Amino acid sequence: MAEYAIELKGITKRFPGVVANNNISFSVEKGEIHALAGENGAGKSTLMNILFGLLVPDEGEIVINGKVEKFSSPRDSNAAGIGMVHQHFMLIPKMSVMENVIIGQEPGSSLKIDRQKGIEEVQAISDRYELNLDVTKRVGDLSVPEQQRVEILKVLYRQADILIFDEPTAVLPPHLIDEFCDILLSLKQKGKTIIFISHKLAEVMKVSDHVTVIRRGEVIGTKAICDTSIDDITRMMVGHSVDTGRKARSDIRPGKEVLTIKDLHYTNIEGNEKLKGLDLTVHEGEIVGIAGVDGNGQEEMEKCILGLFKPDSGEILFEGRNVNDLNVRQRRDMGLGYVAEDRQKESLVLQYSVAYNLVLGQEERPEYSKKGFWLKRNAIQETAERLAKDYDIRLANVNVAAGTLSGGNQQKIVIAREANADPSLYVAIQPTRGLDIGAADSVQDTLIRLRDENKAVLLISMELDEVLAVSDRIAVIFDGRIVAVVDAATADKESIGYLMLGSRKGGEK
Amino acid sequence: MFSFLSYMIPTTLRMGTPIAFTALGGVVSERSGVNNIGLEGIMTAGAFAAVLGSYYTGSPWIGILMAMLVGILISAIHSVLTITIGAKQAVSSMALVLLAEGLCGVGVEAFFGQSGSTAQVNNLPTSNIFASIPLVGGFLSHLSPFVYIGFIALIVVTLLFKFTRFGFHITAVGENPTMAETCGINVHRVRYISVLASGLLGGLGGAMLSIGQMNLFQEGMVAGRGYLALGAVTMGRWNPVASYCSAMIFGFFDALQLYLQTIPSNPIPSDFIQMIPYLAILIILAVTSRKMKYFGVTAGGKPYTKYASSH
Repeated sequence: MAEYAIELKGITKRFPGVVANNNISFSVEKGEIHALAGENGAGKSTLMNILFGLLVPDEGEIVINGKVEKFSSPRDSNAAGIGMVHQHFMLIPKMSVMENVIIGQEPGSSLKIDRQKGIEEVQAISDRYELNLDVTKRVGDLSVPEQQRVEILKVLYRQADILIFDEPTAVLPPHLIDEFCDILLSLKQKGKTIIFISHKLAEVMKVSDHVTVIRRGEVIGTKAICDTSIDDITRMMVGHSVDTGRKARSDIRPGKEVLTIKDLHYTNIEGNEKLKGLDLTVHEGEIVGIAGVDGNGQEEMEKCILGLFKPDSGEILFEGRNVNDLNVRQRRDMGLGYVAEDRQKESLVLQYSVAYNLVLGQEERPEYSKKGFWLKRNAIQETAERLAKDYDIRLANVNVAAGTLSGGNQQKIVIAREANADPSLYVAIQPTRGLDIGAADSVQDTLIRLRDENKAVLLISMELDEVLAVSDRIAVIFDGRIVAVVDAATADKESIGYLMLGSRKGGEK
Repeated sequence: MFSFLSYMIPTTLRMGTPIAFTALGGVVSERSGVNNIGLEGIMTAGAFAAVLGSYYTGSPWIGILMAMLVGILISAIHSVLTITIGAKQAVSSMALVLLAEGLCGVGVEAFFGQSGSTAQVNNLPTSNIFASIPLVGGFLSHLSPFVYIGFIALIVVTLLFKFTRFGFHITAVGENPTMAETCGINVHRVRYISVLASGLLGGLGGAMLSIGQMNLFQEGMVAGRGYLALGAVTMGRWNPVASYCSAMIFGFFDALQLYLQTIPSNPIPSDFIQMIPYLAILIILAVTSRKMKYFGVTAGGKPYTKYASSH
């Protein structure tokens, strides 16, 4: 019988109105990479927070290395050798890597911190595990993947031998995921036990030894990776199989140009030129997907289109008309639908009812208000109920606060609202980020439907697979320019990957 | 020129140090993530407590002690309200200001039987122990001991943040309390101690106004210096030395204003001259506040609930 690092026995955790974890039991062998797969809201994070000591289970037992443990704070789990790499980094950008790592366990006397020793110790760990970090650098100056390695360093510094990774690849650009997988494997080689939470099954297949699937707070099963397949795990996760390939669409020809961007330049407040002569065209009846590594000008481009950022030079034409001097409202009234990247901050008022959120920004239109002043509550209610039904927004009624809904349903509100305004151009930024497979599928279907209705759709996504599955044409953005535009139906993932990194190898102009 | 300098240097220190004390307190509290606009009220209470202590014991040093204790006491109320209960920091602070001013007004009547100001008490205007030092003794002894306590406070707070474990924890808690908690730091404890320390320093600042610069307590004598101190914290970008210096800039303009008033047959009405420090501060803040978003305390002003109780 294998030796177990972690045994979870009958863990149950209830929150008001939901059972997040229901009688969860599974075991993780010493020195293996054990994947925990499941859709968002399946209860993975709750379970890991219990294991990390942030939450206390209502029932059940945690056994670490054969010993029953009771964790009431991360300090306890830490003492048992458990460390967690959080999905949302727990870092302080202003401080150096070393400082971020030593917090709570600073070397030196009880009063004074020995910084020199800190630098040496932390650098030694970084070198030993080949994390390639300069520990004297400020964390705020590091890239996202580097920051993730700082998180790993933090855990290693605390001498954890059980490492929990909470959706580590969600924040990584596609070309760095392999590199990350190598880090996982090298940690395993050095004797660490790893729990790897993910719903990206390709990675799960690649690195894990076992996978445990959770659905709706319950364990569906644990399988050895050699005995299973992506389809198999997907079925376990969602309860039915989902098509992961290219989306079907009707055969229409793109019509006239809806969005034309010519030689757009933009310099941000820090003085960095983020857009360096960007050109882009989106036609009626097509989806143009922007592929690129985060931070290459996507945000600046999208905010210039919306009118939040004012470009230094260049033109943005909307159905042939220059919109440079128009404000956001005027552009929206011209038929610009916009699904912002951060739905909670930029797209919704969480305290408002779902119904109000479904007409937000359109409330002055005659359908919803008399003389632009008195709200027509009945009309809003009817529209909301219709949209909730059409877009499968799951809720008790449309008068509950939007903040009470799950992330997927919140996103459906935004998608529905923007589509309902009858836009001629629909801009969607990372519309499926953080959504589970079912919700992501429905969002992508909406984009395709809009395209089939002859709208112009611009999709910005960091997930190359999504761009490939949904787009008609793919524009690759790199360093503030569109470096290539390719036909999505014949596009080759690898050559796009190269283009995204600024290499022309294998790419076509 | 010499007479100008020999007036301005000690007067700047005299006018700036109360603000500097309070600003140092503001640095400690704000770096931990708790805004303490109530420092104005803490200064008021400190000023009154110092007079009270000196009045009943005859020793201004006991007055200083009283001021520090009262400062701690008042900030303890702020701590309980904002850290444990999670009340809005701005609201709690403003309530403290009103409470302190009201209580001190009543206190003046209750303890001294007169309204507006207290009786005169023993004070600490000069540091006579330095008098025997050759050359500079005269200059040094003409400064209040508060000025020297202010130097010590500056050094202590600077060392706290530069070298010590606790100072490091204060910064961590102010920047990312969730992270600090996951790293085993008791967020509430660190914030409590920081706010209490700010009360102690604010109390000292108040004491200097009443028994350092004068020898009595007057209603309204703090006159917004607690708010100026917070301005100094912002101007100093939450750095102890820079905040101390900013407070001294405020002191400088106060001194300048006093100097201008002493010039005989000055054609400018004194009301305008008295506006100088405030105008100067507005201008300085307007200039230095640009790009301020790159500084500041990330989790400043946000109550923190422990992870387990918030999920």
